[in-house]
Amino acid sequence: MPKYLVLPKIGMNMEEGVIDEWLIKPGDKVEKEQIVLRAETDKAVQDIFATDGGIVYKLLVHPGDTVPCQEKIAILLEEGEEYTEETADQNKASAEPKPGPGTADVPERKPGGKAAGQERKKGKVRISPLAKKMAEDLGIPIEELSPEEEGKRIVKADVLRYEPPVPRESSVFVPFTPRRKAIARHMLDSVNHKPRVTLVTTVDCENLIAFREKLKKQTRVSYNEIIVKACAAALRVYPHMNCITQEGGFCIKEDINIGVAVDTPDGLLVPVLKKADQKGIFELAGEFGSLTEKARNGQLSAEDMSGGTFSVSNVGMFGIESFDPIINSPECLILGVGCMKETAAVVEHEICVRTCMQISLSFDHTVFDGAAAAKLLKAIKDLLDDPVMMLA
Amino acid sequence: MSIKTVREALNEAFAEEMERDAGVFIMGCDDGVKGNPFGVTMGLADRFGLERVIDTPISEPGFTGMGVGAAATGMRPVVEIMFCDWVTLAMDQIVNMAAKMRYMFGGNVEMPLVIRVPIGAGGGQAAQHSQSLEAWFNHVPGLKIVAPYTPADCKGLLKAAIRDNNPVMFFENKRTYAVKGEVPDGEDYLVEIGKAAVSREGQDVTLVTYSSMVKTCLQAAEKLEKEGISCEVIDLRTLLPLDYDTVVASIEKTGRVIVVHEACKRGGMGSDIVAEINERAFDLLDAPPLRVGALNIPIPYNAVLESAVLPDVSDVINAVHKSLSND
Repeated sequence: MPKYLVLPKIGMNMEEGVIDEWLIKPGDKVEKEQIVLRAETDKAVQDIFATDGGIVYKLLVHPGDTVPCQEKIAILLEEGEEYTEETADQNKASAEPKPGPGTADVPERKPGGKAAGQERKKGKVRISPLAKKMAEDLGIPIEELSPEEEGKRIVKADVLRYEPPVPRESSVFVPFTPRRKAIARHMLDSVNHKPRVTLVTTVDCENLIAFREKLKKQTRVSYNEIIVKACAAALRVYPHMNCITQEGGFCIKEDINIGVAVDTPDGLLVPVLKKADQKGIFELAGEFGSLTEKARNGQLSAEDMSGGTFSVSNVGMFGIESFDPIINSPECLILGVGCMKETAAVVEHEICVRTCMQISLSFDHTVFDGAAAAKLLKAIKDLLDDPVMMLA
Repeated sequence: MSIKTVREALNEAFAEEMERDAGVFIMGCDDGVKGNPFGVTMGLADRFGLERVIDTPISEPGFTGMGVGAAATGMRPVVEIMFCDWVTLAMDQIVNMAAKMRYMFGGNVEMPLVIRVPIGAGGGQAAQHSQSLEAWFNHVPGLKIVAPYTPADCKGLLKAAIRDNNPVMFFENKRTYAVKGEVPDGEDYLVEIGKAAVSREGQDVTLVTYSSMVKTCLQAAEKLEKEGISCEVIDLRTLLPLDYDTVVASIEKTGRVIVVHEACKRGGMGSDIVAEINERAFDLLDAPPLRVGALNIPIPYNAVLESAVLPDVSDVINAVHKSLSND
């Protein structure tokens, strides 16, 4: 009796997945819990395991398809078993709670629009002379016509049921991808539940720059890792602020896990540097480098992005001076980093030119009050003003 | 208007034309005293005399040649070849004499000759008494060909053929002699040669047919209607000149066409009609034009085999399904 692989729900918020790549093909033997598929979920492109074992008879979904969780994605047979509709029916009658009418056939999902179109263009188009003439007279491109049933000739009726694509306007509706949907939900949740106040201060970067130059001689280090290290060190001074909100309260975490916002072609991702306070800057640099690489290639795992207690968002490279970031819920703190800029500063009663940078700390006012947040931001600023103090 | 059989309608046509024109006379085997083996000329000898309903010896080239000579010299003969199969014997007179004479004499000679040729199988008449050879004459310039089905068309077209100054091959199907239908009275009733009739209107598929297969197509259309398929049936009535205006007008509506005849499919009228449709109406076609005809073998004597060879209602239905399948 045939069995089915279904798309498992592998995350709390996962409702559907976009098929990215099959790692099995018909004829392959599959073990239960073997990785068989890569699919884009609300979090990332993730490895999907087999929900059952057997010989793959047919793949029911194709790359590009959006598939809800628990939907059938492949048919499996036992070794030596033949697939018949009869056995499939039996299976349905016994295993499926809702055998609707007209579902005798296993519904095969059609490949995404683009793929089908390309496929059709390969061979010669089979079209009746009448349909061809009508299409020409009506100005319908023949390659946009399709027969009612795959493999049949395109006839008059197919021309008559042709619906032209919606005329192009200057605006284009883009439906949310699962990634975008997740970001949107996350942002709205934060704005709705976390009353945010942002404190801003200015860092004198002269020492910071010299410090990085020294480190750079050893290995490749960016300001991000130094800033992460400074934040982690500051949080160690105020460990009660290393917390996340939970239903009815908040939870103080021992591990200081700092997320860093990374821009990717598919949108914002926040990989997390775990136990950042316990790692050296070089170690953080190595880890962050590989996480960034994975993020840009869409290879971040859910694990790579979970467990954060504090976030850093740096838009300095775009020349932005200052901004007030939205808190990465359920975290309660986020540091916004602006650009470094030569500025007229007053040092020991003298006006001089110094390279400075604004940093801003958004905090969740349901959990902290302004004074606590101000102390934390001051601590971060002090460490960045003079990074050697991180050793203290 | 009265109900008559094809046999009676043809007999009436003869009587009216012989009454009207003293130049009209009949020649053939057993046409006079016996009134023709199928009863078509029954009573005509009594009424018009054996000089005008002539019993001939069994010599198709001889009496067909007499017909050609009589027509050329001002008479209006109607020659009968009792079974179409034997028209082979008269081919020289038909193809080289009757068909060519007007042309070769620069229009100075008329050829008002009708050659009646009963066609069709059925009833175990075997390979030499069952053929439908009308397509041969379609290949010969200088002839006209009619092949009616209804009693009214048989009467109106026989009268028109007798009055026509060109040689007309008149094909009637032996199996249809008893077919009944309304037939208009009066000697003025004629059916114009070269005009088809729409026997049944439809939207989905055009069935182009003639003679006995009109009935087969109408029965198929009836059955297909129950499946929700609407067939238009065109009774060509005249095969040469063929009424392509009516055929094309129908294809313009349906986009699909099937030619149906009792004669063998290969080299039959259907082959020429389909070719002509492709030339005239290619852009109107939603499916390849199809042909339905007898198998390309001699008609068997055995009744079971005979019916297996001849096209029937299910063959037409299958062809309609094929046309609509878009395969």
